[in-house]
Amino acid sequence: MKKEHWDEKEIELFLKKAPKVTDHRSKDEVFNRLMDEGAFNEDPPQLQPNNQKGIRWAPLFVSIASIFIIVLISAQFIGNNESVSMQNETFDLADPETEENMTMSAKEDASTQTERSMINSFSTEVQPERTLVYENELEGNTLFTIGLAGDDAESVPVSILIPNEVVAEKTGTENPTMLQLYNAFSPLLDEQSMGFNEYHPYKGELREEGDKLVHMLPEDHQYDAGTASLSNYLGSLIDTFSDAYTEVEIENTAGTPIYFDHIGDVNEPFLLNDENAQYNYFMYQMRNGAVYLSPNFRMSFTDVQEAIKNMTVEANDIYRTVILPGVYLKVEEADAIVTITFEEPLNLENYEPAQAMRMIEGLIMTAASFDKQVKFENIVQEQWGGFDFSKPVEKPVAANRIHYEFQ
Amino acid sequence: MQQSIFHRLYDTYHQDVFNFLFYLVKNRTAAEDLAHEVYVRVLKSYERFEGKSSEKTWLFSIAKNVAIDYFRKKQVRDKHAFTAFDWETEQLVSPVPSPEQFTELNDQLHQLLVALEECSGDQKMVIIMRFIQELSIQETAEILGWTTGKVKTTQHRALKNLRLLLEAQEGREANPL
Repeated sequence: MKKEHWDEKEIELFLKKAPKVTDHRSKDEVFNRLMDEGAFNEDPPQLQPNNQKGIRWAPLFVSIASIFIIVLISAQFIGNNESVSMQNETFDLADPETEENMTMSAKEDASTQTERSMINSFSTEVQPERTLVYENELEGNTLFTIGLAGDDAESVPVSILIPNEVVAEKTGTENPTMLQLYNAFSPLLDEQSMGFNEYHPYKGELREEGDKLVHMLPEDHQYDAGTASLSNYLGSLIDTFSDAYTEVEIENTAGTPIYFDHIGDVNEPFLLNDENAQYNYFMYQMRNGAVYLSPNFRMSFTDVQEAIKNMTVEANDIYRTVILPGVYLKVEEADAIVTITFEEPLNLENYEPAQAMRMIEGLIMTAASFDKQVKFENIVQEQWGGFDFSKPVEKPVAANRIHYEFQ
Repeated sequence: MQQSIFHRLYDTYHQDVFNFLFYLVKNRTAAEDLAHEVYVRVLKSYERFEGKSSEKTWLFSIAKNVAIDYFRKKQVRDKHAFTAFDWETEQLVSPVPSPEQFTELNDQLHQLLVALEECSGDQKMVIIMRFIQELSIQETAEILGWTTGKVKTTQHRALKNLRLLLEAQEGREANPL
């Protein structure tokens, strides 16, 4: 018999009386399905960065450098600097590969000369590595952004600064369009050497029509092989082309709208820059240990304050918050400036530098996704990691810079 | 090691997680598939579990994410939608079980579950966690990654919305067009 009048207390009580639904399968059935699919990998991939196969970057040097770094950081944490005698040999962490930025780096030919000079130029100061790209770094370089295929069927946005002379040599022009840049450099990118899945260049043909990009896909494109494939494809289009184009029209070889399995005809262009591309940024760690800033399953926000508040919590098992433990913040927005005030004075030197930098950069990048700058308040250091916190920090142009030298 | 993790989590939480997934997706086969996916993700990421939250809320947060992914994929399939999926504002629509699937349902609960499908995703999630799963406000906040204040507000709005939806149901049945 249906009920005619409800009040909220009754609704609560009815819901609490809802029958418990149990799984009728036996534990063995559940276990065996996992076993059959190889879920019990007793030798899981190590989280420590591996020495990415195919890259000639002096593994021995990297190993030695890592040991020094660990010793240095450990010494700082245990407050026992005096017990670590570095004598005249210290390691300048501002530039060479730290344990983390080693994963962000794919330099193909670090010369032994450079290695020697790096090892000889130690300094005890641990400098955090910056991973965002800023306008002033574009002097003499061209920004190449691309969405690479991560371990979890989601695109990871990365950026590479390519010297202008290399761009001119490979594209035949000093001012290539984003598509020309993509066509020239994506085939040269060894994605697997960086721990990503082989994905680029896209299948089919890309062409520009003003602000619009058209992607003509062959019949066997497989971008709709599953919803995960589709998610990766669309995310990579945003990560690769949103700086230069407003939308992508996806069509088949007959020039008519594409048909995707499970979806049907796709009649509307895919928008690259609308509110659905306004993200907040989390930490994404690949199985090889490499760490990147990434949107959280492409969750988008219309409001920058909501986006930042959402970062203050642990997101999920794939994308983790960049906000340091025990750090609380308030967000205010006025015009193009987002003011982030830490509730307690934040001493960045109390944290592991890479983690502290990740938080600062994640917040900056999130605001930048809304075309806004950040002014930090209540940070103990006025200058830190290359930032001047006494004024709004510069808006970055891209995230996750990786060092890659195109041959 | 991983097998022992499975056995312990299964023995402690499996039926609770299954119940949670079932009420979210309202389909036994889908709930079985999602429970499987929860274990796959747990086993993959257990070494990253830092103990900041309890094991229970960590496991449920994974189950919640697996379910949201299910609805995200379902939206792409059903609506041909290319837009990003925001589970809090989207409806997490699943068919209310037929009597064959869910014989224990009485009329009132059936009415309630129909109304719940019309709530926003955040409201549906909070209602299931707080009242069907009987998780505390603190646990719900940890699982969703929200403040307790947001859980309370969403719960309040959800109950009010449910009441209005149920009253509207009655109105429609009393005055069929």
